[in-house]
Amino acid sequence: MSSQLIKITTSDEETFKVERSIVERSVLLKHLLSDLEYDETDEDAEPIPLPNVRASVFKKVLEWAEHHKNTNFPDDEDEDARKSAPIDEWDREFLKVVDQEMLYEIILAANYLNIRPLLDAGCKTVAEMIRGKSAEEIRRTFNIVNDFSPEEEAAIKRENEWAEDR
Amino acid sequence: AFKLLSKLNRSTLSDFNNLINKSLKRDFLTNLPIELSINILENLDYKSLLNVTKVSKKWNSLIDENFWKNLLIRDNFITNDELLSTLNLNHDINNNSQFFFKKLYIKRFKLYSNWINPNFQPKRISVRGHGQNVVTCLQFDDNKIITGADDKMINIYNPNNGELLKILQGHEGGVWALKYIGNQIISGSTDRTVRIWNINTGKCTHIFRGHTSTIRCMEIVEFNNEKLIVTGSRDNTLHVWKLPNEQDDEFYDLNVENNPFFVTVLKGHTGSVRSVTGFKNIIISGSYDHTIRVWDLNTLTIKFILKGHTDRIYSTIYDHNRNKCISASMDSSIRVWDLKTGECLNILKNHTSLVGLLGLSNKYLISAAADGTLRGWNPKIYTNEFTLHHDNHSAITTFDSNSNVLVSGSEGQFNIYDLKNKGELIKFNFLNDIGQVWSTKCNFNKCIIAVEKNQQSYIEILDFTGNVE
Repeated sequence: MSSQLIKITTSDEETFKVERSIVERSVLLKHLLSDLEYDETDEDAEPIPLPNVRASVFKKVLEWAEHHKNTNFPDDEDEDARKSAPIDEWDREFLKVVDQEMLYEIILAANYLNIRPLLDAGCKTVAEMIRGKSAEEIRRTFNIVNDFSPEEEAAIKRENEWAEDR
Repeated sequence: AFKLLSKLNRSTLSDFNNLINKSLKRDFLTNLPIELSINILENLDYKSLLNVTKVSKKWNSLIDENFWKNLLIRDNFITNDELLSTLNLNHDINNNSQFFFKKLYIKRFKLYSNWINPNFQPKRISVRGHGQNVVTCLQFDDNKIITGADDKMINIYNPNNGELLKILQGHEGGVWALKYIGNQIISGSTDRTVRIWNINTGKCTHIFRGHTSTIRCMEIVEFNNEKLIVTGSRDNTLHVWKLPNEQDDEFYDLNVENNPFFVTVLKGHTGSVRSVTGFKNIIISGSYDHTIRVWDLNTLTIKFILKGHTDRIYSTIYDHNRNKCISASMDSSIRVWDLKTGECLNILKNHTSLVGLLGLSNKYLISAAADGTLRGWNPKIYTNEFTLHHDNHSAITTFDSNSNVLVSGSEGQFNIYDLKNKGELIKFNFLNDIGQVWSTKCNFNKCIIAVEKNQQSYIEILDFTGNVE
C-alpha cells in the first residue's frame, strides 16, 4: 500500500507529502488536483510545484490546515459573516508568535493558495496591530518613515479635526 | 554566520534579536497587493482609520473617497437613491465635496451609535395629528412629514420642529392609501377617488374617478421614462394611471371615459385587492381571494396567478433582484414564489397568526404578525435568523427599518432593535405614554410614529441627531 499522500514541491525545492483533505483547504490546489485528475495512489505521480511559496511558510500553512481539518468555516460568499466574525482563538495565537516577515508571507501564501479563512485571519491580525494606535505608534510597530512634510501633516490634522470626538 | 552567533553571549544575542526583529518588520499596507491592504483596513473602525491616514503618504492614499464609499455601502449607511444622486456629484469635485463619502460615513456611524446606545435620549416632539382619527398613511423625508387619515385629511408637517405646515382637504372619505414622489402626493380614499396634490401649493390638481369601492393600496413604478400609479381597491380591480406632469397645475376632475391619464384596469381578482408592489413593468397584487397576481404593464397582461395560500393575502414584496415574490397571509404563512416559473419555492410557517406586514432590506426579509412577533429571514435562503417578541401579545401593527435598526409598534408598545446585531433589543416600551401605534417610519436621523394617546391622534418625532452635525 502506498502512503496515498499528495506530493507538493515548494519554491525552494522541498517536497512535502500531504493528505488530500488538508491540501483541499486551498481552493487553488483543490481545483488543480481535480483538473490534473491527480491520483495519490500512483507512486510515480509528479509533485505539484508551488513556485510562489517557500518551505518554511508552507509548513506554517500546513500546520494551520491540519489544525482546522474539521472546522466548518462560514460560506465564502457570505461577506458579512466573514467580516464580522472575530479571529479564532487558536489562529490568533498561531499568528501572534510569528515575526512580521512570516505573517506577511503567510498572508501572501493564503492569498495565492486561495485559503479565505487563513487570509482573513491574517488580515485581521494586522488590523489588530493597527487598531487603537496613534500614527506614531503605528509607524514604530511597522518601522515606517514619516514622509509627510510638517505642512502636509498639519493639513491632514485639520482635515480630521471635525471628526474627532469633542 | 551561524557559527559566529553560537559563540556570542546571551546579552549580545538579545541585542541581535532586537535588531533582527526590527529588520523583519514589514510595512504591510505598502507591500501587500492593494486588495489585501483594503481587506485589512476594512476591519478597522473610523477612529483607527483616521490615525491610519496620518501614518504616511502611502497609507493616507489607501483611505480615499472610494474606500469610504465602499464602507458606506457595506455598512448600509447609504441608500440606493443617495448613491444614485452621488453619481452626479462626481462631476464637480470641489473643496466641498472632496471628503463627501468620508464625512457621510463618519456622520452615519455616529448616528447609528446614537440609535443603539440605550442611554441616548432622542429629542422628542409630539404634535397633534388627525383629531380622534386613525392615521393610515405616513411618509417623510428631511423636509416634510406627510400623513393621511380617516378624517379625510392629509397633513404636512415640518419634521424639524413639528409645525403643521398644510392641511390638504378634499377627499370625501377617509384616506387609506398615499404616496408622494417629487412635489406630488397621490392619495386614494374610501370616497373611491384618486387625487393628485401639489405639495408646494397644497392644491389638488387631479381627481381620477373609476374605482367603484375604497382604494386600499397603491404603488408607483417607473418605466419607459414614464411614472405610473397603480391603485388596488375593494372593487377587486387595480387601475393603472399615468402620473401627470408636476408642472401641470390646472385642476382636472376626470372620469375614466375622458381621462387621458387612465391606462387600463387589471381585472381578475375575485376579492378585495389588499396589497400592490412593483418595479418597472412588473406589478404584484395580493388579494382577499387568497391569490397573488403578477401583471406585466408592458403587455398589459397577467403573467402568473400564484395559488397556494388558504386565506387572505395582506402583504406582498417584489424582490426584483432575485426575481422572486414573497407573500404574507391570514393563513399564518409566508410564501416565496419564483417569478420565472410561478412556482412556490418556500412556505415559512413559523408565525402562529395572521402575517400582516413584510419588509425587505439588504440583509433581512422581515415579517410581522398578529402573534406579537417579528421575524428576520435570510433573504437568499429564507432561514429564520431571529425572532423578536412584543410582550403584550397584541398584533404588530407597524414596523420599519433603515437597514441598521428596526422599529416596531403594537398596542401600547414601541420598540427599537439593532439589526446589525441580529435584532438585539435596544429600547423596550419606549414612549410609555402612548396607546395604539398606527404607523412608523424611520431614516438615518429620525423616526416618526403615528400613535393614539388619550383617544387623540399624535405624530411623534424622535430625532437621533444629538450632537452629530
